[in-house]
Amino acid sequence: MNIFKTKSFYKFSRNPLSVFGLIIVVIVLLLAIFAPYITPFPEHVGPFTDFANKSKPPDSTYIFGTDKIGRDIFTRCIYGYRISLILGVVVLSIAVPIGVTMGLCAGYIGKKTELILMRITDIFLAIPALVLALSIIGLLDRPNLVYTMIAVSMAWWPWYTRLIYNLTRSIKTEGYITASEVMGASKFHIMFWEILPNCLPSLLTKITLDLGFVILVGSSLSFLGLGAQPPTPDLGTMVAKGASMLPDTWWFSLFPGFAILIVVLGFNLVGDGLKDMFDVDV
Amino acid sequence: MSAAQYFFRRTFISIIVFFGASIVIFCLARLIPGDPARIALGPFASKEMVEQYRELLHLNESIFIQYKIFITNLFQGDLGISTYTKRPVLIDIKSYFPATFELVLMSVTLMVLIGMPLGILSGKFKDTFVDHISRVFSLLGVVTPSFLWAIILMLIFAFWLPIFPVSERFSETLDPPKLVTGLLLIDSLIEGNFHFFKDAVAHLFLPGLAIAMPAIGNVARLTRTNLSDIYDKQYIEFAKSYSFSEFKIATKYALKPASIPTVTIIGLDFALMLGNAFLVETVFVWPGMAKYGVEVILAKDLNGIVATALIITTFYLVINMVVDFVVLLLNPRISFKD
Repeated sequence: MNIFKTKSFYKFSRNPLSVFGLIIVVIVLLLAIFAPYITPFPEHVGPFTDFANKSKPPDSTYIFGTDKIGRDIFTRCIYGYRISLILGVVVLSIAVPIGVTMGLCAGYIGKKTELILMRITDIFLAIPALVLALSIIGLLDRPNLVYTMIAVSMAWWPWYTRLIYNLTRSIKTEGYITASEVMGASKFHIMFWEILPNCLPSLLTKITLDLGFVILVGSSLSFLGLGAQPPTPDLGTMVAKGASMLPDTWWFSLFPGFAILIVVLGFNLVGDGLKDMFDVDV
Repeated sequence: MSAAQYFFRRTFISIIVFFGASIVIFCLARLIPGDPARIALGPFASKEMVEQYRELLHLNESIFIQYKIFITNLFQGDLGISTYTKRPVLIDIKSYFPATFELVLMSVTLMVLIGMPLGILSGKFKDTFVDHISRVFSLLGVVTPSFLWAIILMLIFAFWLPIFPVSERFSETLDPPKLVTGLLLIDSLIEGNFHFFKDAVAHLFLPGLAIAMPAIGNVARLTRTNLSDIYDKQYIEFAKSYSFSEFKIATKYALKPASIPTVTIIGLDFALMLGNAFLVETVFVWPGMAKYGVEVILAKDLNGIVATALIITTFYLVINMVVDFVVLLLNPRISFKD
C-alpha cells in the first residue's frame, strides 16, 4: 500500500499546519543526523575556546552569534537537537511500554487489578510531572543525561496507562473480543493481539505529541542545571547560561530557546494533524 | 448523592491520594541507590559521622518504621532538619512558599483577566484579527518553554522598554511591610502602604504573565466555543425576547456558565503552572520554592527535597479540590458520578 495515496494521508495533507509541522520535523531530523557535515564549526561542540571571537553578535559567519568562549551557537544548537531527540526517543521507549502494559492490564484483567493499578496511576498523576522528575534527579547521585531520561520516564508513564485504560474499557465490550474469549484465547493474546492494535491510532498520535513535550520537559530540567552537563551542547543548558547575561548578549539564550520552540511546535502540529486524520482524542 | 456527600467523598479521595503521594515520594527518597547520609555529608565525612547521621535520620530502621516516623512527624509539623540550610525544613518552607503562592495567584488572575476577554472578543469577531491572535496564542502558548516566555518578556518589557522591574519581589530601596501572611500584596495593604503594593504588583506582573502564557490560549479557545454554545440556548433567546439589554444578558445569564471551562482549566493546568513556576522563578531570581527546591536538590538535602515535592503536591491537590467545588457551585446540575 502506498501510504501517500491513502485517504488518511490526503486528509492530513489538506491541513497546511500539519504539513508545515511535518516539514519542520523532517528538517530537524535531517539536521540532527547530518550535523557533522552541515554545521560550519563541528569542532565547537566540545571543550573548544576561541577568545578572539568571543560573545560576537549574529553576523554572516556566525549566524546565531558566538558564546562567551567563542563557540558558534548555531553549530551547538544543531548538536543540541541530537541530545533532545535522543532524550525524547529514549524516554518514550521506557514510558510507553510500561504505561501501555499497565493500562491494558487495568482495563482488561479484572476489578481488583483495575483498582490497584489505577489508584497507583492516580497517585503518580497527582504529583506535578516536573516536580516529580526534579525530585528523582535530586535523589539520584549527580545530574546527568541518563538520570534525566530515567526521571522524565518515571513521570511520564501514567498518562499512557490512563489513555490505554480508557480505550481498553471501551474496546473490550466489542463483539470480536467476546468471540476470541469464547474461542479460548489467552488473556495475554487478547490484550496484546486483539485490543492493542486497535489502540494504535491514539497511541501513535499521543507519542508524536509527546515527543515534543518530552523534549520541552527535558530542556526545562537542563535549564535548571539538572540535565546534561557542560560541555555537552544541550539546548536548555545553553538558554540557562545565557539567561544570567541578559540583556547584553541576548543571542546566548534566545536562539537555543527558539530552537526548542521550533522542534516542539513541529511535533505538536504533526500530532494535531494525526489527531484529525485518525479522528481520535488523546 | 447530595452536594454534601460529594464534598466529603471528594475530600476523602484527596486525603487518600495525599497519603499515596507521600508514600511514593518517601519510597523514592529511601529506595534510590546510594547512602543518603553519605551523599548529604559528602565524600570527606568520617565513618562515625555518617553512622551518627544515619541514626539521626532513622535510616537503620526498616522502611515501614521509617515511614511511620516520617508521617507521625509530618502531622506534628516536623519535616526534619534541612542539611542545606541547617534549619527546620518547615521554617524554610514558610519563608519560601508564600512567594510562590503569590506568584501563582497572580498568574491565575492574569490567565482569567486576559484569556476570558480574548475568548469573548474572538467569539464576537469570528475569523478576524482578534480571532487569529487568540488562535496563535493557544498554539504558541503550549509549545513555548515558559523560561523562553520569561526571557522574552524580560528582554522586551524590562530591558528594552523599561516598564517593569527586572527581578526580585520588591525594589531594594523600599522597606518591606511587617510579615503577617507572607504575601507581600496583602501585608502591604494591611499596613496601608500603597506605594509598596504598587511596587510589588509591578514585580509580580512579568513572571506571573510568563507562567500564565500556556494557559491563556486554552482559556480563550474554550471560552470562545463555550460562549457560542450558550448564546444558542433557549433561555438566552428568552431573555432577548424580554428585550433585556445586551449587557444584562451577558453578565446575568451568560457569564456564569461561560466561566465553567475557565475554572476547569485552572484545575487542569495547575500542575503545569506549578512546574513552570520553577522555571520562571529561576529567570526572575524569585525567592520562592523553585529557588529553594533547586538549591536543596543540588545540595542533596534529603529532607528538603521530600518536603518540597510534598508541599507542591499538596498545593496541587488542594487547588484541584477547590476547583471541583467551584465548578459545582457554578453548575448545580453536575452529575455526581466521579
